This record gives sequence, C-alpha cells and structure tokens, in this order.
Amino acid sequence: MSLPDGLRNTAQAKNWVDSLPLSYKYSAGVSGQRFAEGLKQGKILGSKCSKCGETFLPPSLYCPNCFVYSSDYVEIPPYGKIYSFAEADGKAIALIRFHGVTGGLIHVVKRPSAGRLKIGLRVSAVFRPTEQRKGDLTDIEFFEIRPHS
Amino acid sequence: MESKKTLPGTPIAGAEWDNEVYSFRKHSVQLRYAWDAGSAVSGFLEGLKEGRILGRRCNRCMRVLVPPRAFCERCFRSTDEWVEVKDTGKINTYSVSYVNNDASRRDKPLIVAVIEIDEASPGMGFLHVLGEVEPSKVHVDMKVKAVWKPRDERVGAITDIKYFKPLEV
Amino acid sequence: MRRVAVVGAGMTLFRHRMLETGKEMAFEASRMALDQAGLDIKDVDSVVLGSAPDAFDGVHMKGEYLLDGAGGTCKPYTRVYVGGGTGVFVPIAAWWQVASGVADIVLVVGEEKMSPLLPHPQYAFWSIFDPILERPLGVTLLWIFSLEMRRYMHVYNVKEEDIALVAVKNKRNALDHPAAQLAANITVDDVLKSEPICWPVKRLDVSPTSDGAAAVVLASEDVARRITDDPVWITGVGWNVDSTYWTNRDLCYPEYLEKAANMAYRMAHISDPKKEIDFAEVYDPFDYKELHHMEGLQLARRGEAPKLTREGVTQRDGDLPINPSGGLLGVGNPIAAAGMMKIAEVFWQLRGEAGKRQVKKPVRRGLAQAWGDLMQVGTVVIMER
Repeated sequence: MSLPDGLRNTAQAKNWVDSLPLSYKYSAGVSGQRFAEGLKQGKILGSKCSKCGETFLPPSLYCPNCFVYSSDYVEIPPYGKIYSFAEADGKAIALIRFHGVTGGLIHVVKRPSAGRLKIGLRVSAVFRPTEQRKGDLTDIEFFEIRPHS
Repeated sequence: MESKKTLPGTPIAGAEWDNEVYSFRKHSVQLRYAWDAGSAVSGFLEGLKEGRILGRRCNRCMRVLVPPRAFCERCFRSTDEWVEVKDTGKINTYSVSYVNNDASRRDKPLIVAVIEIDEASPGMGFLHVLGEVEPSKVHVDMKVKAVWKPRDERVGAITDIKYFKPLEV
Repeated sequence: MRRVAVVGAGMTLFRHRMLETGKEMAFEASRMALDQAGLDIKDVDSVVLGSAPDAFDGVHMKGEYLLDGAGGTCKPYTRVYVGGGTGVFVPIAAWWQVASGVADIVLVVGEEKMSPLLPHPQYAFWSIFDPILERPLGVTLLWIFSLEMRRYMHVYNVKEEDIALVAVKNKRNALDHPAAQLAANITVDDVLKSEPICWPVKRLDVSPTSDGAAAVVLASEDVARRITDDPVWITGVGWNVDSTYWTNRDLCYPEYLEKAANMAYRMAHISDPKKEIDFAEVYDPFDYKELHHMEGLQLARRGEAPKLTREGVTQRDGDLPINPSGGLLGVGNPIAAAGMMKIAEVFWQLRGEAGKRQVKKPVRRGLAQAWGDLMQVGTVVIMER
C-alpha cells in the first residue's frame, strides 16, 4: 500500500516501545497436588483409569482416552528407561519412561563415569533428602544409570 | 442439574492462597514490544509533536477520521488526504477513575473522557484525561481544549497533550 | 439445514480461585454434560472450545493446552474467540457443524481460569487496548464500561438507582444457583454506597473475576430423538462485530447487538421479540449492561429497560424474566464459561430443570446473549422446546 501524502518519507514512520510485564501464580490442580505430595514423600505417583486400567504419568484427574475419572493414584517404582535424550549446557536431559506406564518424566540424567548415554539404558530416581523437598519435580535431584544396565 | 447436590470444583480461600497450602508455581515474564505505528498514526504522532491534531479524510463518504487511519473502514478504501482539525472539542462521555490498571487504588482520582474533536466528523474523537476541573463540575457536552506539553517535552505521543481542560467562554 | 438440539449441560462451581487447573475444570463440566446426555466421549464427533484472552491463564496456546480436558484429543477441534462474546459464540460455531451435517454430536466447552495473573486479573485487560493511542493514558477496562454507562445514563436520563436494581435482582436470583460466587440479598442503597471504582461504576455494579467451566452437548435431530425425549432446539443464531474505533461510535446503544439479534430473530421467524421471547439470559458483567442489552435485543424500547426493571417485569415471576440464573453479577464471570452458563440456564429452564430458579410462567422459547471485546461484539442464541 502506498503511504499517505505527508508521509512519503519512511524515516518519519514511528514505532512505539513498551513492555507487558506479566506475573503468574499457577495452582498445581487436583492431580498435580497429589503428584506434588507424593514427591515430597519420595514417591512417583501416576493415575489409573477406572475404565481401561491404563496408568498415566504425570497423573491426571481423568483418563485422556476414556474421558472418565481416574480411579486411583498408584505408586510407580522409581526405575525407568531412557526413551530419548538430549545434551545441552553440559547436562543430559532425558524423557524417562516406566514399565506399563503411559507418559513419563523429563529429567536430568547423571552421566555414567564410564561409557556413553544410550537410549534404552535403565535409570533410577535419586530423591533429595526429605527436608530439602519442596513438592515439585526438583525433589528428584537426577536420574542415575543403574549398574549392569 | 438440581439432582446433583454439589457441583464439581475446589475453591481456594484467600488465606489458603496467601499461605500457599496447595502446590503453586510462580512465573514472571517481561514481554517487550516495538509496535509499528503505521502510516496514518505515524503522521498523527508527528502532528502531536508539532502541537497539531491531524485527521484523514475519505473523499467518498467525506468523513474526517480522528484518530486518522490509512483506510476508511466503511467505504473500505484508502483515505485521501490529511486534514488539520482544532484542538478543541466536547465531552461525549466521562468517568472518574479511582483505580489503576492492576486494580490498585489511585492516590488521586482521574477524570477520563471521550472527546469529540471539533472539525472532525460528528462523533469522531478519542480517549483522554481531563485537568484543571473538579469531577463535580464536568458534564456531557462540556466544551474542552487541549493543554499541550511545552514544545521541547513533546515526543510524538498521545501524552504530548497533557490533558483537556474546560474551554472558557 | 439440519435441526440442531441441545441434549445435555454441565458446569463447575464459579469461584474467585479454584484448585483445579483449566483442563480439570473443562473436564468436570464436559463430563457432567456428557453424563446428562447419556453419551460417551467416543460418541462425540467434534469439539468446540471457547476461552478468552490467553493472558489470564498464562498459557499462550490455550486452545491446545485445554484440548484433552475438553475431550478433543484426535478429534476435529476448534477454539473460537470473540472476547466476552465467546461464551455464546462457542455453541454457534458448534451449531454450524451439526446444521451443515459435518458432525452429529458436538461437545461445546467454555473455560476460564482468571486467577493465575498477579496482582489482579484486571491487569490482563490492559493488553487489549491500542498500544500507541490508549495504553499510555493508563487505560483500564473499567474506563470503557464507566464511559459507556455514563453515556447511556445521559442520553436516556437513567438514574444510578435504576441501574442498581439490576444488581439487586441478579445477586438475589443467584442465591438459588448452586455454582454462585456472589449471591446476596442486598439493597439499592448498598449498591449506591459501595466503594466507587470508576464512577459511575461502583463495587456492587460489577461482576467478579472467576475461575470456572461450563459445557453443553449439541446433537442432530436423528441422534437427539434417539437419546432423549426432551430435546431443546436451537432455532436462531446471530453474531455481529462493530468497529474497533470505539471512541467513534455512540455508546448509548449497541447497534451491533441489534444486528446480531435480528439475524437470530429472522432465522427463528420471530417478528415481535418482546412478545415472542419468554425469558432471556442477557450478558450482565455490569448491571447497566443488562439494560443496554435488553434494548439492543429489542426486548425493551430504547431507554425503556430501566422502567421495566422498576416495574418488576424482569423478575423471575415477571412477564419477561431476565437472568433468572443470577447472571454474571451473581453467579460469577469466568468469561467464556459465563456465556456458556447462560446457554446451560436456558436449556435447564426450557426443560423445567432449573429447580428453585425455575421462572414462574410456562416457557417455550428463551434467548442467551453475550457481548465483548471493545464494546463491539454481540452474540445471540435462541432456543425452543
């Protein structure tokens, strides 16, 4: 579109700089609250669908497939496998999946002292000491490679 | 619905929110923007810097549009020319604000108004604030005039007009 | 065009702050609506979700974020948005799909979680204004409401007392609504003496900010006849948007709403709305808006709505009950969910399921309306038994 008369000089075109500072406080939600309380106790909690029986991690109030209430929260043993991983800033970040569970956790994996990280390696969660836990995912300090995996 | 005694939902009371009895995550973002003013509003801002209010005329409907725009939204065609209009007008509507945009209370109430600008088409105007007048003295249709910042303080912004004040007759 | 029925409705509590995440609230309302319709998520062909600005929830892809809570995973799924008008626009966007034959069963969900934004949800509204010409003045959403209210009072010589009657009525109606956030028995004097926020708007003239969700299920005629003896039909829909240059319009009358209403009236073969609409849920984020909208809907002549309100015509036992639910002023205002609450209320009223809220006269035809953006959007749905 051509500029209107009086503004043929594009040097006159202006922009306006301002900011939009936004602060939020998000509630964890009903299932998020249970998940947080579990972490504080050193437990990884998933949810089980009352209809199809599938277990989800992180837990959900409802089954995303059947769209019915989850029947229960179940403790998931803290042993999983590296499904995929990426390395950035000297840290290894992995998607860790657990046997019989849909979903998983994204977390830091501590490098093995010998050998390389590989997809399929077996890992286990290392929780912080009880008094340091805050009820979020950082209550797990990292996942470490299980010996002989 | 009435057969269901209680509806789903878990309210959080004020104290529970403040004392964080539930799990919360806090996060802040500072978004910064540089909005292009576009051809018409750039000209408008340039005019304000010079102490003038500019509009654009559509030569089909013959309306003088203030604030100016590059196109006439009714005829859906480009506008045709710049028109300088007066820096006086009349109050279309007004209110007295006791709050800031984050809902906190203001120290002093602020009178805000939509001002129909003289020589623009009827009903054409913009939002601004009023000064040098008590809230109780303001009325709809009151004649007002722009009070400009000194020339060297004007930067090409809507706030180059400090406020509008009642026009003495 | 196929006939479209409403076959189920559900909603959560409306509260200032809720523990449930947006997804969880959307699920609760949706599950309740499906249960009332006796349907499973597998039966649902398509999902339409409505939610207002992303800035409230603080997730800037809110439609996708809420997807699985609205039952939309791996289904044709759309989020629609027309500001405060969204709540009544969601069922319109779902109606297209059933009327056209694209879908037989559509789940319609309205969600809003306003509480996350600090220090107050009100702040998000700042970001809807023009960044160059309006924000530098420190504009708030309350300004535009108070400016519109003042203009309406001036043109039709309406007094603050008359407007306060709407807040009194709606907050009292809400005492019978199980979701209500601000139900109360108050007087006109309480409203007039409440804290001025942006005169002429005072604390009790305004609806609260809220968390909440509401949902309905729409079905084609074949499906509706199969699953219920009591379908409610959508017989008219209308929507209209006026210029964003709100300072260039006369704020005393919502022309866009008149156009939206006329679109819906034509479709529903209504020529005299005041006689042919039995009751209405009109958008009332502020008390004067109920009057403004009654006039735009032509349920009252221009400037006449305050008189009808004074005479008790708009009470639950009056000739033209307005907001028997308790409205946004009483039940709460989780924006898109609030409009959907009105759709649900018309559905429950027409089926005689509104319990203590049931309007006195027999009702066959009701209307729900919402409004939004920079005082420029009108959305209208007409439903019949």
